[in-house]
Amino acid sequence: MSSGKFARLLILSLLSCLFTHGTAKGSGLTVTMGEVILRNLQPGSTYHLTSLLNFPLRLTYSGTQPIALRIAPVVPEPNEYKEGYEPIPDSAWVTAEPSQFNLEGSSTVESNVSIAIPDDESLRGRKFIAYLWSQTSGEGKGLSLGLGAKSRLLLSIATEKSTAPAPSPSGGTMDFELSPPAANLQNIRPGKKIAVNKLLRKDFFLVNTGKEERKFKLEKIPASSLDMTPSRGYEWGPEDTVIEVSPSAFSLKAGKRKKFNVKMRVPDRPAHYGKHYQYLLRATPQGAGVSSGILFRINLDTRKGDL
Amino acid sequence: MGILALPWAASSLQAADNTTVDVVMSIQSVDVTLLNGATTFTVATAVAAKKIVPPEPANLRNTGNFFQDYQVKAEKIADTGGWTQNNLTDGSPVGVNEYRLRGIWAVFGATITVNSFETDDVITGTSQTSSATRFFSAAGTQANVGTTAANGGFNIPALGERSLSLLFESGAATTTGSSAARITITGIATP
Repeated sequence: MSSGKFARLLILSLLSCLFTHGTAKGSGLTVTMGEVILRNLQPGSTYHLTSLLNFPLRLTYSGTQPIALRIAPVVPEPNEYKEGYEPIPDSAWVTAEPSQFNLEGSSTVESNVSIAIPDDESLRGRKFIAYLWSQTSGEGKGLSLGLGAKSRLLLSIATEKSTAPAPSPSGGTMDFELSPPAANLQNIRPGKKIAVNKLLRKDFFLVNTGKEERKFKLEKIPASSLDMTPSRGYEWGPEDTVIEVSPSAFSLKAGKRKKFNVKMRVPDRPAHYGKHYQYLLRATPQGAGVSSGILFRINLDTRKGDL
Repeated sequence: MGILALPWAASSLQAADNTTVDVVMSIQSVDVTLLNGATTFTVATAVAAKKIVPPEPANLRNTGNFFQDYQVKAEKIADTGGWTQNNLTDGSPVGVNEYRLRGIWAVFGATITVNSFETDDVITGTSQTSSATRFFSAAGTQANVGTTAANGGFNIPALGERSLSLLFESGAATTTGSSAARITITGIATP
C-alpha cells in the first residue's frame, strides 16, 4: 500500500461517524412567557415574578432521552430588536433561578424570574428589551441537535415615581390561561357582523389554573394602550370596529374554565378591504398586587375589494 | 431594593396610568418540537475537502400558540477534538482541521444538493434568525425547495411544519481527527 493511500484511509476512518443525533425524535421544548410586557417599573426596585404574580417561567421538555436544560438572560442581537425598545444595557438586570436542570425524560420544571432595575433616574421613560434563552445542552458525540426557545421581555420604566403604599406580594394573579390564545379569520367582509366562535367552529375558554376563586374581566383594549406594535404583516384594526365579548366579567372557581364568545364587525369602508388587521382582547384578573393580564389576539384578513 | 406591589386597579385601562405596575403576557408560549420520522443525520463516510448533504433533514412543528421564527446556530462542543468551526460567510474554502455547516429550510421531500446552499446559509456560532434569504436556497426553484412563505424558517403559524436540510463541509486535505458539534434550533415569537 502506498503511503498516500494509507493516509487517505486514515482520514476516512477518523472522520467517519460524524453525524449522530443528540435529541431524540419526537422531542420538544415549550416555554411560557413567549412575550411579556412589564410596564411602569420603578428604578431601584426588584420584581420577583413568582412571588408577585405566581408567574414562574415554565419549561416543558418532552422526550425520552436525558438532557441538560439551561436558562440564561441575553442581550438581544440586532435582528431581535423590537421597535421602540433599546437592548437591555446589562443582562444582569434579569435573573432566572434555578437556571439549570438535568432531566431524565419528559418533565415540566419552573424557574423564578426576577427583574432588577438599577437605581438610576436617567432610566425613567425608557423601554428595554431582553430575552431569556432556554436551551438544551450537555455532552454530545458527532453532530447533535439541540432545542431552544426564547422568551421576550419588554420592560418600560415609569416616568413618575410611585406614591403607592408599602408593597405586598399578592400571588395568583397570573394563574390563568386563554385557550386558544388567538383567533385567525380570513376573507371577512367589512360591514358584516360575525360570530367568531361559530365561524371558526371553536370554543374559547378562560381557565382559572389558580387555587382560589377569582373574578375576571375580558375586554377589547385600544391598540395603543400597551405601546405595542402589531405582529409582522399586520396593522391594527380600525378603532371603530365593533367587538362584543360575552361574558365580559365573571367569577370563576379554582380549576374551572369559562367559555366566552366574540362577535365583531369591521366598518364597511373601501379602505378596509384587502387588509390584515390585528385586534387585542385582554383578560384581567381581580386581585391585590400588581395589575396583570393575558392577551387574546384576533388576526383578521378582510375580503379583497374586487369581490 | 424591595419588592414593589400596588393595589389592584379596578380596570385594566386604569392600569395604564404612569405608576401602576402592569404585567401582561402578550404571547403565552414558544415551542420547538422535532417530529417523528426522518431526523437522524447520517453520513456513511466523510473525507477531507468534501461537501456532504446528510440524506435526512430535521423536521419540526410549531406547537406553540403564535407565529414564530426559527434561529439556528452551531458550536463545537468543548473538549471534543482539535477541529475549529469555520464561521466565514465569504465563500472561502474550509481550512485544514476545520469544518463548516450550512442549513436551509425547504419543502418536505425537497431535492437538496450541495449546490442548494449559499454563503448566507452558513450556520455560525451566533444564533441567526431565518429570513427570506438566510437559511433559504436562492438557487433552488419553487419546485424543489418550495417558497419562503410556505417553507421558510420564519413567520411560521401555529402547527406549521418546517424541514431543515444541512450541509457539512469537511476540512481541507491533510485534515485528520474528529470533533463534535451541536446545532441548536431556537424558537422565538415573530416580532
